[in-house]
Amino acid sequence: MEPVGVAGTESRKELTLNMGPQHPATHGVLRLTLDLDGEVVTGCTPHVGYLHRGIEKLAESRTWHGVMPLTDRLDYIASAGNNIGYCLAVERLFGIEVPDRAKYLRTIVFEMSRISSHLLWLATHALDIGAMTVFLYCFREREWLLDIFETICGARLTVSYPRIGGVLQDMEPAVLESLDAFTRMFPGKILEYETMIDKNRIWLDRTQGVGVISARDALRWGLTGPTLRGSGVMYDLRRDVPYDAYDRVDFDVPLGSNGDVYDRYRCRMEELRQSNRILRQCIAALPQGDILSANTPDLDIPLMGKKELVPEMSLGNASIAFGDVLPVAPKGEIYSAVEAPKGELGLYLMSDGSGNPCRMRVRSPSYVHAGALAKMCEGGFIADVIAVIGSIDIVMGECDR
Amino acid sequence: MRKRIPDLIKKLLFYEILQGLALTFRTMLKPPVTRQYPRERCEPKPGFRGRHAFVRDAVTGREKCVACQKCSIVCPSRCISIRYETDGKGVRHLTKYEIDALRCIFCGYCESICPVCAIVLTEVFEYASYSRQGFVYDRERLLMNWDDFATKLKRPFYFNMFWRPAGSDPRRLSVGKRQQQPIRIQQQAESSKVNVDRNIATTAMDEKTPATEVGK
Amino acid sequence: MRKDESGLIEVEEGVRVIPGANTLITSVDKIVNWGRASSLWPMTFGLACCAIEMMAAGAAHLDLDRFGIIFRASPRQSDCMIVAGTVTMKMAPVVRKVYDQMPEPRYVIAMGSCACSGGIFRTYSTVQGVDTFLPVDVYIPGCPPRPEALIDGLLKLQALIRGEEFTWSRWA
Repeated sequence: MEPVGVAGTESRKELTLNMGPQHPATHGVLRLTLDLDGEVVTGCTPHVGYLHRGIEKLAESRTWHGVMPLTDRLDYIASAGNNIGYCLAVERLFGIEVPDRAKYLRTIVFEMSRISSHLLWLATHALDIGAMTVFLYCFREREWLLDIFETICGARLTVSYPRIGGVLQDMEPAVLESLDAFTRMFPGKILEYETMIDKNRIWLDRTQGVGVISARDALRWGLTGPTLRGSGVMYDLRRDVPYDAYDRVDFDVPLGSNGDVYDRYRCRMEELRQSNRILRQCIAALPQGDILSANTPDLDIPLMGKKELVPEMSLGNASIAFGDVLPVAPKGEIYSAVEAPKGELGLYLMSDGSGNPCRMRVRSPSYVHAGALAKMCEGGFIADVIAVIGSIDIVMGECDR
Repeated sequence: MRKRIPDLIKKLLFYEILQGLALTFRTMLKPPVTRQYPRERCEPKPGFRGRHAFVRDAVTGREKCVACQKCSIVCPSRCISIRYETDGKGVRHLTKYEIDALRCIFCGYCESICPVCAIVLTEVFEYASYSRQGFVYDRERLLMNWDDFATKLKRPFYFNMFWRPAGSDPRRLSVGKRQQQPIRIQQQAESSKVNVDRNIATTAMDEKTPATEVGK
Repeated sequence: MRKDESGLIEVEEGVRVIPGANTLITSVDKIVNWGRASSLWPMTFGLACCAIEMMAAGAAHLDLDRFGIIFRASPRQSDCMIVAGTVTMKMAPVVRKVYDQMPEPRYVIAMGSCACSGGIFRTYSTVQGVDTFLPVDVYIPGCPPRPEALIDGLLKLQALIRGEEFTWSRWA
């Protein structure tokens, strides 16, 4: 860096700008320190941790069921997805077999939350870049899905609908009809969003060639999900490591080529269509059956459930006495990942035989993508930083845990 | 070249922007989706997890809680505080029950686990306040919450979806949950008024029933 | 009450008022309160999950613009701060700094369990309620509260503002 010269001489100095935790476009409490040369960003350092709530530590003192509402608050936009990720990890650890109907219901709920998450992503991304109408249109569709969530489990956002071994309750035919009506009307709405922005020259100018990351760099930085697929790497956990009912439905996985903001945007728009397709197939092929495995532990019993169900209890047993001898949970550890809307959401769980997870570690895609921000923002303008943050779809609840 | 002329004309005339504007103007002419909130209140769906309340027993008019402490143990926020006394026959009597509504995350585990369907999350969600003091609900306040909910409920019967979740195995449910019937709200509103007027918990008829019954 | 040479009335020991000023002052109070309550500009302080419901309240189904509520990004241009989400110890100085930058009259709404009391996060890094370092005017419970509950809280804040009385000078 050259020293500041006397009047009349040319000099250049780098400016460090703080895009603070309170900022309308940082999608939560992300803080970026930008090193600027004029308007060009030469370096970008993300500071995370402004929403670190100690979820992993808190999970150590809760029962296996009690961790579920905590996982809701990780990626709070698609909370059913986090729940399913956690349930899958626990089921794989304890060998709990999920009935078929529950698998389909979970797939339905996961895809609903994926659509809901992508709609919110589109709303906020477009709002940051300046297309404010798309925000209102996306929230209008989102309300339909949130209404369905409210009908099936009582809450709009933090659902806790999937449970260990299945789901909370069955979906009534009225709910499935409403969902079916949604799948019929939704492709028209996707066309509406695309009419607004897809070929809009302002949008193209702001997103094409911006925030480019090559496939090789994307893999080295550990990107997953649509952020990785925008760079041309085909990796989707629903296809590669199928879970629930994903091996029984047909869907395509969209792939980009340039690795810029526009390609990531196109990937997510196509994913909206594919999620709609998956929803349609699941609703049509929903089998009859149980919604909860017989091996699921009861809510208040922190350990493994009863192996056989107790026959009719008498009225006098309405309040049970504590101090009963309960079976011990098996020891073990597992890493299990699902394809969350943001990327690969991984859960590492360790059980030491007591009723609590002795360690829960969440591999959140947003944390990894925040790390790659520096690479993607280099060489762009400040306004491009906003576009890039929107395109990696970062959620601070998941990033900081 | 042939293809480039229409493209050039489109570019000069802002064709795609006009398409977007046409969509916006078409949407402007459609009926709005806005609900005029204070005047048009939307009813939350049955089962919505809102303010806590103790269900009034149809027989005693008081709460049904048996002080089993399951809700307190299962609550992920640890916001329920229970004290009880055991009498000579070994039956528990509730002395203190407090829920800190500002700690609660409204997960619904307490209403799922309660074996006698005593605690519910009602569909009331408009209870913002100017101070923190009113948000620790004790037994009396929880019963008042139920009365308040009973006056607001537009359906004649109330049955919480967590008592018998659709598709659940009845063998996994407690006896209280299996036997729970939909509660008739009109009777609840009337019986609560009667008890409040007389300021007694039981009627003369109930004193003759044995004390080991559930809910006493 | 006695009148002295300057025409002021002494109502109490040491308190002097302009006679008849009350009639004018209450009307001015009403007009000013109506103006302040009807165009309440909150600052976007969405931290976590409650921010999503705040956005939904501002979106099409429940338009906040009907009440004159426009979200402003800068604290210098806003009337109230809706703290929506968990405040951690790392974020608390930032919240306080932003609150201090707001011009008076300013109000704080604590939305959701985490802002009101720390919620489920009774951990080493979470502030147990934003009222430990900020004066809160309205508490909205819920996790997250419905958008209608947020609007209900905002209407309660408007009612609070409409009931305010000011001291315009030493004598009125």
